[in-house]
Amino acid sequence: MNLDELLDRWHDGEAGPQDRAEMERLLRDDPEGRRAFVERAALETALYESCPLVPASIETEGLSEPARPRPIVPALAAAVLATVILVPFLRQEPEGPPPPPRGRTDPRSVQAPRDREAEHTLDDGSRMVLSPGSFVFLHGPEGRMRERVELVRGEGRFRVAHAPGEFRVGTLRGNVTVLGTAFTVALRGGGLYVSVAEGRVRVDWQEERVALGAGQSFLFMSEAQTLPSAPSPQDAPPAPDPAFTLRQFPNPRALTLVGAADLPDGAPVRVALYVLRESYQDGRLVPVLQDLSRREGATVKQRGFRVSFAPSPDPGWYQPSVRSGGGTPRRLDVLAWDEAWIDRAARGLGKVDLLAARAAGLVDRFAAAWASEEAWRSAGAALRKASGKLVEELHASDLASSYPAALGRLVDILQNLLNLTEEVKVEDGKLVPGTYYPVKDPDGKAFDLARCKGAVERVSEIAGRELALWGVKERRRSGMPAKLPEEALQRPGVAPFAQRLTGAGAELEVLEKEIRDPVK
Amino acid sequence: MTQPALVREFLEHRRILFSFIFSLTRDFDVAEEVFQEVSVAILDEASRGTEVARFLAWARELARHRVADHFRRARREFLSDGLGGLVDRAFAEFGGTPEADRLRHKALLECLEKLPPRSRELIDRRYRRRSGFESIAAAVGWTLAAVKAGLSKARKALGECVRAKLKEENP
Repeated sequence: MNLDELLDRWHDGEAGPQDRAEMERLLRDDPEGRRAFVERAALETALYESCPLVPASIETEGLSEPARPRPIVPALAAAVLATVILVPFLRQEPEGPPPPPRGRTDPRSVQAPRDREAEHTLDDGSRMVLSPGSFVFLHGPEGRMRERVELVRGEGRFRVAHAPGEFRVGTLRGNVTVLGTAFTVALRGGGLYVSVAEGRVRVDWQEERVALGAGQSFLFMSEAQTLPSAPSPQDAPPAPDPAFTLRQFPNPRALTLVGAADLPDGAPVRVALYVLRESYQDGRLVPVLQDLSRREGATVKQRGFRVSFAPSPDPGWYQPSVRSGGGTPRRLDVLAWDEAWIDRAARGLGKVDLLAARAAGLVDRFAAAWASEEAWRSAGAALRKASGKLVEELHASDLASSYPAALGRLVDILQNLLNLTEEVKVEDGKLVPGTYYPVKDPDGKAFDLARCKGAVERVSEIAGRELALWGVKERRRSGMPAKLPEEALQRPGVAPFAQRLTGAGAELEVLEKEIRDPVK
Repeated sequence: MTQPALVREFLEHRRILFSFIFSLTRDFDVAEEVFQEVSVAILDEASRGTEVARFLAWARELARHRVADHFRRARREFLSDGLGGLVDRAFAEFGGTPEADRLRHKALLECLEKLPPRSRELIDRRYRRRSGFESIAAAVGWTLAAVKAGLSKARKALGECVRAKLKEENP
């Protein structure tokens, strides 16, 4: 193969393993090959720049006409400049409309005049109101989407017509897919602001997918971006009343919340971190808000602030509580996990089974040792030590964030055994607990080792129900059914709900209620 | 290096940096995405007052990480570290200067005008309309092999023309 062929295949994305090996040899051993490689990359880039995409038709009725698009790379730079408008020396955002987005064949454009809003009816009957100076491309139907709107600058408010197919508003920073009816999308200070008035929307932001319901507003910002600047009168949607998003999940060193607040510079902001964890109570799974005793503060600067918690807590459903000055704390839902984490949690069920089996073994040994004073004297101390060790393991387990109810149940059962066997006495020839603890099991019933064993054996089912609940939560977060492994779907606690968890259209509230309280 | 200097470096070298990213990704759409991420990261560093002695080497390192991250997220195989490092070395040696890049771009525009109509059409479909080989073949009524050969020939002609023009500028 000659050099030109190799470079063709490489830059056309068609290089196979053999080509890669050949390219490696070329770049390592041949200076002229290296020169040719770089020159070819420069040529490819220059060709793309020299052949900008041009919208085939421009809609101008009642709207200002966009200027001729500029080449791609300068356009990218312009987009970046727009992204970091907080940096003062970068205030070079060019006049006129930005370049068209990539990869479209025939988009129409709509630009609102600088001094007033523009209202527009889309082909599917949906209504769009653009703030002054805003700019969108209308791509029409694409795949399963009946309409795709690309917001390039400013802010759009949408009332979406009821019709088959998805309605999507895309931006460079993320996509908003409509699951309901009325919402606002704005490019603000380097972030993506989404506010839902009615119904639900799904936001794809970097690697996260978040479902927002009516009344919810979020400002999505990436780690690399600066805080939002004070909006100018031209591009200022009303500031969200502290709005947050969680970033750099699932593998962050620090959990970072970025907020926007309509407060003066220097105003203090305090954030306390709470997490919602499942708890097992009388056969039911109950969400309990747990204070993580982690508090951080910041001050408002240019209408924004940033708070970091390091090291980052585990994935989960967090509720940061935000207070500014003497104001009322405001609590927000932050669904901080991803699809991969749900999969890992599902695969962790086997570990829960192992822990439960070890606990069951200990209960069996307690039962054997409880048979006589002599047996207890011989085995009791070692048994208590082993139980204490397992309790410590359970507390430290990395499964605690995914299966808090199941692991908590095991801890309760073992700790109860430890409490009751702290002192032992003999009454009428039988061993009885000699402590001041009430001689009851964790459910408040009379202590009975056989029932204790039964309770341990039901822990796998509790863990299964917790996984089923994660399936419900995942659908709330992403708007899509959780992808649970087949073996997990057949497990106790999951199997009764498997069909509804994996199918579309399940009534989530009903499903959640049944998982939490299957008896009722 | 002060903040504005870092930004100035970025603006001057952005096209070279984009070429580097494209040569790693070999997909213009992906390159655009990664370039956006890299640009934001660089400008964020600028706002923090980060000082960089050798901008392009630093930016290429940053870009390599971002490209690798992108491929990891997309669950696609990325170049080996060795090959990525060799691409980096090639750009360190022959990446050129912003001025040389500007001249190359100017030369290309002139060379494009000299291209025969059929070659121009192929280039136009491939780079302006971003069409795949198969759809180009369907549109122009050629076989797939003929389209690839035609594009290869057009790019080779452009490359030679650009080199000749650059030589004229700097004999």
